[in-house]
Formats: sequence, structure tokens, C-alpha cells
Amino acid sequence: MNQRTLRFLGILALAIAAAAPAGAQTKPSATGTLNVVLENGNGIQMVLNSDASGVTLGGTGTSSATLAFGNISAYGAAPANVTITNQTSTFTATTYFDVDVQESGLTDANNGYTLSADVTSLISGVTLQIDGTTLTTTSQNLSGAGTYATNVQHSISAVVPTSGGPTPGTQLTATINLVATSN
Amino acid sequence: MQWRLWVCAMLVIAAITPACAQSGQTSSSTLVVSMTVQSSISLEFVNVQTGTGYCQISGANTSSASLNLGIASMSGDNMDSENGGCVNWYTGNNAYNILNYVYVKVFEANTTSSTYTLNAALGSVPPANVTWKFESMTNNLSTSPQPVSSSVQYATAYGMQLLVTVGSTAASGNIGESINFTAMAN
Repeated sequence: MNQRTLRFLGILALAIAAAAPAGAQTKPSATGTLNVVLENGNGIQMVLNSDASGVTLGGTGTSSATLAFGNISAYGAAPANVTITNQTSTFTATTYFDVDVQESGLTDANNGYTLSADVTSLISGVTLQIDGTTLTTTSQNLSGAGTYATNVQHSISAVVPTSGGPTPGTQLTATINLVATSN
Repeated sequence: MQWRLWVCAMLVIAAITPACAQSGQTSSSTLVVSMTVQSSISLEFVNVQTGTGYCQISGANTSSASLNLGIASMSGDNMDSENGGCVNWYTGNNAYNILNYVYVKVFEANTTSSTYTLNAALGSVPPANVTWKFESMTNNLSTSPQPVSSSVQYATAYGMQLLVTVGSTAASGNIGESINFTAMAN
């Protein structure tokens, strides 16, 4: 061994001695980055709520609700939160319900929504109206600028003839389809 | 130049696409409506004629009316000033009689009947020697319902001549009564 080799070995030994304590104390680690992709999509959701002035809805707060006028007559006592008005040959039972449409991701939400409705099958002899608009089996516009995220009150009326109409004592049912469309 | 037009067109389409995608979002719901129509009738008092024997009711066209027949007596003194001369009055058999027409009108809805039965009852037992009846009735009015007519047409004014007979021995004072009518669909 020449002097050069001895010097190299000495330096190597010092280097190993210096590095050894540090190597024993360091624990392995790893890092990573998760890039999450999420887009706030545009969409609307409608629910039907009971109105303070109307009959209590079944399934209130959902998009599938029921509204029972109860027993209605021209001259008898009106059910709670149902108003009866008499015309020449008809009487009208009126109550109220709320529509609440929520939106997400619409940049033009201030434009509101359009509400339309149709009835699946008409009740013979009885005219159904929402906000004074007579419902048919084809879609009818009810309002053109509904406000999002608030309960909007709507009246619903049944116009019943006082003679030649539905058989008294028989329950009548109709399904109304409501559609909210963003403007 | 043409490629520039294409670029401009594509930029315009790219700019308006997001806005278009946001409109026309829809949400649907269903509302099942139910109701049961019931038969019903209503009764109201109406004024039809004027003159002697046709005192006017107040509260006309409602089901709660009042009729002021004023102050009557065997002598008939001052009757015109007390009741406006509308009362038909006569004496006989140690009594005086007050005659006055009362009209009711009954409406029906969603019934299959074309007529109704009308009953009437006094609200309280009249004083001694005072009787009340409608001339169409066989018996005097009492606190139990008595038939006035068994077949009256709807929506037409039905007149009943009220007869109050006051015997000479009846005590002076208020002899007014409430008459409760009940109409029932036949």
C-alpha cells in the first residue's frame, strides 16, 4: 500500500463514519399530489311545499306530493284552508301550495325559471286551475320568471258544476305534472 | 382570408356555447290532487213583495234575518206608526191576529232531488194565549219541528203567511220569537 492508497482509505473511512449516524436517523418519506377535478354543473331541482294558507300537502318538501281538498260542496262548511266561492252554476274550491326551485351553476340564475303544468287525465266535469290558468293535457305556462330558492305561492282551484257534474260522494283524483325550466 | 373567417366563427361558437348549455335546465314534479264533491243545500230569507201583509225583513239573502212586526194590540191604535202599516191585522174570538208573509229561497248543488221539505220550530215556548203558525200548517208552531211543506221547488221564493194569534188574556210585553227553519232535500 502506498501512501496514496492509504490516504484514500482514510478519507473513505471518515466519510462512512460521518454518513452512518445520519443514515440511521432519517425515515423514508414520500409525497404526492392529487389533482381533484370537480365541476359545478348547472341544474335545477323543484320541490313542492305546503303553503301557510293552503291545505297540508302529503309528501311536502319532495317532488311528488299529494293535495287533498277533502269534502267540498257549494253550501256546506269548507274544509280548513279551502275557500269556496259560488258562481251561477258552479262553485269553486281554492287552496294554495308552494313551489321551491333550487339551482346550481347557473350564471344566469337571475333570469329565473318558467313554470308550466299539465294534467295527466282530466276529471270529468271538473276544471282544475293553477293561478287561474285552466289545466289541460297539454302543457300550459303558469309563470315566466319564478325566483330560485324561495317558496313561490300558487293557487289551485277546482271548478265544480252544481248540476250534471261528478257523482256526489265519489273521490276524484287528478295528477298534475309541473315542469320548471331555467330561463 | 377565408381561414380568418373560420377562426372568427369558431371563436364565436366557443364563446356562446357555455351560456347556451346553462339555459333550458328542467326539473319536474307531480302533484296528485283529490277531492270529494258533496251534495249541499242552502236556505236564505228574501223579500219579495211590499205593502200590507209584507213587512220587510232585514238581513235579506242570508240565513239569519229579522222581522220587526212592531207593537200590536187589540185596539189596533197607532199600529201604522209602530210598524209602518205593513202588518195585516184583524180581531175576532177575543183575540187579535197578525198576518205577515215570510219568504225563503233554498238552493241546491250536486243533488239528485228536485224538491225539499221545509220544517219550522219556535225557539222558545210562547206565552200563554199566544200561538204561532204558518197558514199552510195543520198544527201550531212549537219548539219541535213541524212540517211547513213537504215539497218545495229549489231556487224559487216560497212564501209562508205567518199568523200570530194573541188572546185577550195574554200578558203585555215582548212576545217575539225566533223561528228556526230546516230545509231537507227530498
